[in-house]
Formats: sequence, C-alpha cells, structure tokens
Amino acid sequence: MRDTRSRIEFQSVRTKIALGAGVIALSSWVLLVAFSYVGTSLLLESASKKMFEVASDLVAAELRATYEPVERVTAVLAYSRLMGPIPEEERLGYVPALADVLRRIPAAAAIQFGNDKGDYFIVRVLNEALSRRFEAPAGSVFEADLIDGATGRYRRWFYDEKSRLLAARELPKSDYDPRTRPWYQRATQASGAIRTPPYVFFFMSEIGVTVARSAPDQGSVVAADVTLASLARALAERRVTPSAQTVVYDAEGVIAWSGGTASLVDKAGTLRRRTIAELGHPVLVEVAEGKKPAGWLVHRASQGFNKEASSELIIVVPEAELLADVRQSRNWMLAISFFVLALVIPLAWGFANRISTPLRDLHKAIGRVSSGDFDFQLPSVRSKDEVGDLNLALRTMRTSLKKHIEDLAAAIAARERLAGELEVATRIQMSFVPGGGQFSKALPAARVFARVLPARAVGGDLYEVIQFPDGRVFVAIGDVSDKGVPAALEMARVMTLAKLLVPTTPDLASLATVLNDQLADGNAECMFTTLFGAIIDPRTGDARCMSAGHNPPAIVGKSGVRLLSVESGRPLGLFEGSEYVESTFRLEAGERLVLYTDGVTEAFDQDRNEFGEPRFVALLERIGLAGSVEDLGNAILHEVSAFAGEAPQSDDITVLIVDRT
Amino acid sequence: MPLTIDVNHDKPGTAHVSLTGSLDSETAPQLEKALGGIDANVIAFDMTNLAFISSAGLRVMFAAAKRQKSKGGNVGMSNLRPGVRKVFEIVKALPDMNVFASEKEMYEYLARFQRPEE
Repeated sequence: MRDTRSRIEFQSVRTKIALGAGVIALSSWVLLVAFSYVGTSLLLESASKKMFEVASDLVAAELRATYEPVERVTAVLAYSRLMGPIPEEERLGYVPALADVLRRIPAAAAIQFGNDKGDYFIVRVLNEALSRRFEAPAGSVFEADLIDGATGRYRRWFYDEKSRLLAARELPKSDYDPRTRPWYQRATQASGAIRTPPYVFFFMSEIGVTVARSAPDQGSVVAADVTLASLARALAERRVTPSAQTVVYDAEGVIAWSGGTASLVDKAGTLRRRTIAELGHPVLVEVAEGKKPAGWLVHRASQGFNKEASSELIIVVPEAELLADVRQSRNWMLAISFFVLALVIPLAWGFANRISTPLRDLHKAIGRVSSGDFDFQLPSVRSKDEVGDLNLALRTMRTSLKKHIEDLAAAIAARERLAGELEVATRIQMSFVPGGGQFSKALPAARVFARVLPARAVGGDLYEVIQFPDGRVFVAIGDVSDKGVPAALEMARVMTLAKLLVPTTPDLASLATVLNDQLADGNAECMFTTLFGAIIDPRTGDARCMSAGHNPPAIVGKSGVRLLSVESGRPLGLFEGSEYVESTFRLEAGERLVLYTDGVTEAFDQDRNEFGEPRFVALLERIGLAGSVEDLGNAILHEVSAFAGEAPQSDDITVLIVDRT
Repeated sequence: MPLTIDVNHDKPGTAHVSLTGSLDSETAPQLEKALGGIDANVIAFDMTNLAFISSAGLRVMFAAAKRQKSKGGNVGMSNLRPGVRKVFEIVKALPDMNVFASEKEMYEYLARFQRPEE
C-alpha cells in the first residue's frame, strides 16, 4: 500500500476538500471584487449623468428665475405712462413704485427708460461702491437720474429705503445718449423683449444682462439691468462636492462661476470679463481646451442665454470626491468579505479533517488484510454517515471474509482428502484389471496387449484376460455407462461377478444372461455395461464370442481390416431376462483381434469432430501387421490423443489386442 | 457442447421435451434433473437437434423409460439423427425406447398411454 502511495502522487481527501474550498472562496472573492468595480463604474456613470442633468436644470432654472420676473416687469412697464412724454413731476412720482419693483426683484439692479428724443430716465439700487462714487447722503438706497435729450440737463435724486426723497442734485451736462446704447437699438429693431449678451455693468462692476422692450407708438424703450451675481451665488451654494466647479461662459469670457463673483471682472484698465484661464483653475482650463482631465467627471452643455450669443456650461467634479463614500464602503466590504472567505479555508481544513480522519483510520485497519490479518480491529463507528456505513460494511466484510477463507481452507482440505482417496481408488481399480491397466503378455501361440486410460481418476472401462487350463484364452472388454466414480463402482461390480462366473459358466451366452440378471437387479439408476467377450484357442484359431451392445471388434489380417459382425444383445444390467447368443469366428495365424471401447471412436477434437469408426479402420489398415502388438496398441492410443489435441479426454479409452502368433 | 432442454406441456398429460446440443456425461445430470421435475404420464422427446449422445446420456434416457413404465406411462423419441440412432442401435435399445420417424407417429402411439381423465 505504501509503495502505491509513493508511486502515484498521493492526494488525501482532506487536501482535496480544503483545496476545493480555497479555490471556491478565492474565486468568489475575485468575482466580488470584479463585480464591485463594475458596479462602482456603473454607479459613477449613472450618478454623474443624473447629477449633471440636475445641475444643468439648476443653472437653466436659476437663469430663468433671474430674468423672467424682470421680463414681466418690463412687459408691464412698456404699457405704462412712463413710456410717454409725461411731466417731470409725474415721472419722479413713479420712483417709489419702481424702487419697490427693484426691492422685490433682487437680481434687478436698475430700470431705465430712453426715447427717440434722447431723454433718459433711470432708477438704480445703490450698493456700497455706487454710494461712494455718487457721494450719496447717508441712508440712501435708491437714486434716480434724469437726462434731457434736447438740453443735456442731468439731475439726480437720492431716496431712502422707504422711497422718501433725501436729496436732489444738479449734475454737469451729460452727453449720454440712450439711442446709442445696444439695448435701445436692439429693442427698437425687435418686437417684444430682447436680452443683451452678458456684459460688465460699468457702475456696479458686476456681470449682467439687460432686458429691454420697446413701445414703438411712443418711440421709447424700457430696459432693466439684471446682475448674474445671484446665478453665481446659486452655483456656489449648490456644489455637488466641495471641489466641484461650475462655470458658464461665452466667447467674451466667464459669465458665472461657482468659485465667486468679484474676481470675474478685471477692473484694471477697461472693465472686462475674465477668461477661464484667469480663474486660476487648471482643470477648467483643460476642459475649456477640449481636454479630458484624469480623475474628473466633466459635463459640457450649451446654455442658451439668448439667440445671438451662445454660452456654454461646464461642470467638473473630482471622481475621488464624488465616490469617496462609495469607495470607502466598497473597500470595507471587500476587506470584510476577504476576511470571512479567508476564514473558510481553515474551517474547510478542519471539516475535511473530520471527514478524512475516520477514512484514514479505516484505511489503516484494512491495510492489514494484505498481510493476511483478517482479525483487524476497526475503529468504533462514530458517525451515521457514509463513513459509518462503510465501517459497518467492512465489519460485515471482515466476518464473511473470515468465514470464506475458513470455508475455502476446509474445501481445499476436503478436495485434497478426496484427491488422496481417488488416488487410492485408482490403484484399487487398476488392480481389478490384469496388469494394473497396462497388460502385455506372451501366451502359448498368442500375445495379448491391453491398456486402459480413464478420463478421470477412476473410470468405467474394463478388460479381462483369463487363461483356461486347457490353453484357451478368455478375453473381454467392457464399458460401463458414464464415467467417474459411479461408473467405477459399477465396473468393480461387473469385474467381481465376471471373475466369479467365467470359470464356472459353460458358454458365453449363459455368462451374459447371468451377468445381466445380476446387474439388472434393483438397478433403478439404469447403469449399464456394454461387453464383448471371446474365448479363443490360439493353437487352432477357433473362437467363440458374445456381444452385449458393445462396439464390433476389428480383425487385422494380411488382406486388410474387417469389423467382426456379431449378433449383439442388449447392454448388461438394463433389462432382466435379456437373451444373448454366442457366435463363432476364426482368428487366422498372424491375425490380430482388436477390441476397443467407444472412448476410441468417440474421441473428439477441439472442434467437436468425432474420431469415428472410418478413421479408426483406416488407422488399423495403415499400421497393419507391422510392428509388435504393443506398437499397434500404443499407436492407436497415441493417434487418438493426437487427434483430441487440447480437447479434454471425453471418455475412458481402452484397447485390447490379441495377436495369434 | 452444451445441452438445451426445452420442456413444453402442450398436450394434457404429455411433456414434450426438445433436446438441443450434446447429451454427454457433462450434460446428462442436467437432463436428469429436468426430467425429475416432470410429472406427466407420457414424455415425448424431440431429438431433431440432438447432435451427440454418450453412454451417460443413454443411461438417463433408459432411467426415464424405466420410471415412466413403472407408473404405467411411456416415453417416445422422434427424429433421431443417424449418429444418435446408431448409438441406440449398438446397445440394441431401440425396441425398448419407442423410436419414431416423426412426431405425428409418436403422438399417435403415445396417446394410448394417456390417462383417461387427462
């Protein structure tokens, strides 16, 4: 067993189970990792898509929220008396109402009117910078300017938060002409409201758009300045992640940025909007240049401000920030799952041990069988599973194996005993026939040869040679039905009876009749014997014979071979009261009488071909009288044996030859 | 060569036994056992396919004939091949064994031995 183990690479059940569990655990974990990575990517994609949609909508909504109320106000104002040529007092009387509108719409910085005569009227919200510049009296919140197009007279009024007039000033003549302003020109060319592209409001240093609408019948235009500071504030307030950046820009520069408002306007020299490059955010610069920065999610969309100038929205979000929570929880999950799966291996090892240990114990116990130990001790049954069943089965096997070995030993002993007995039986049986089965004797004027070859240890063939005192010779050959022990017992009976009867019976017919009656008595098994007997006087060649169902003998003479035709009776022992007749024949000097049993003619080769009478006669003719009587006998036996070849001898074979010298 | 024994109770009180192969000392016990299990007044052997019979086979056939006769029944054999027929001839047993050239003849003869109630 140990040799086998070392030759083939031994793999224990324990190793296999543990390895299998390990492989399953590891592959599950790898699958989990792959799945979570794919999941994260999908999540990133869908989350960012949704996020960008929301952000885009937000910007659009914020923009609408910024200028829509202003557009509505301008629409209302376009039909007001303010559009017409009204007296100055009436015009100033509208200031509280316009101030109230500016108060209610925080994005609206100013509302202004211009007409085709060059008259200009504006109401502004004052911020700190504006107050300082205008040297506004303390508590000023609004101011109104009025320019007369014809004279260039320029006056200004300051109001507090409740629209009460604080001061009125006469300013130097102004050459400001509303008709030259883009908002005026565009509004007169269009029907309905127009929006200017974003630009920097001169006085406020803020980016904004002007919404304008003309009243053609009055020849005047109303316009409202809307700052986009609130858009920038909204972008700053609603950042997706702390480092996310949103910028709206057009060809002229940045319009709104989530990073702040003040820095969008370059105040050095001419007021202008800053470019993206000037925002100091390299990622935005890269995106604006059409690159794709690593580690950032980017969204670009055109943002329709107005029909003429298209602006663009860029949103950049650092992936790491967006996914920080997702990644962290994923890493936790992977770490925990790895830990759990790693636990599987020692558990599997322990489990495999529990399975394989009883198997090893059984194997060790059974291993002793090979050394012939059938009293091997099996480990006690500990489980109710297959191993337990195997243990029980081995216990049963041990018991039956022991019994079988004992039975086998007993059977072998019995067979050896029987073989020993049969060996003795063979010797005893051979002692019944003259010469112990191989007879060769020279008599006066004759030579007799006989030989019997039983198919088994004992057989049913028989022959007899008896010399009468008067010189005659009795020869007989017989064949008891079947072979083996039953035939041998019957043969012994026949021989004993024959030896007794031959000397006292007057003729062969009476001998056969008496023998038959004796053998038939109580013969339920129908054992029978064919017999040919002859009494020959070798000096004269006169012979008498009798056949009880036996094969006709052959006579080999100078002129060839002939089968002796004898009137045959029934085999001995079958039917009581059978009649037999005695015939006479002559055996000429030099002739040979050949008696044989059917073992010769009914010998078979491996292909079940029969040796047969014709082959037997041909053999006798071929050998003829050449050689001694022993030579002829042995030649017959040899030929039959050669014919049968490897086929087992099917019947007892006996030959008896009388040579009349 | 093995022996195939086909026992058929096609007529009441008659066992029809077909022998195929070789009836020798190896196979004779087989037939002896099969015949021991037959309780019929008449046993009709169909020897058409019996290729060989040895003295052991003869003994079983004789024993069957003897047993059947002792209880008032009989046996018959039909369609013997020449080789088999010769074996019976040598032992001068043909008259005792009711040998017929055809099954028809055999049945006509054996009908006499069938018990009236069957």
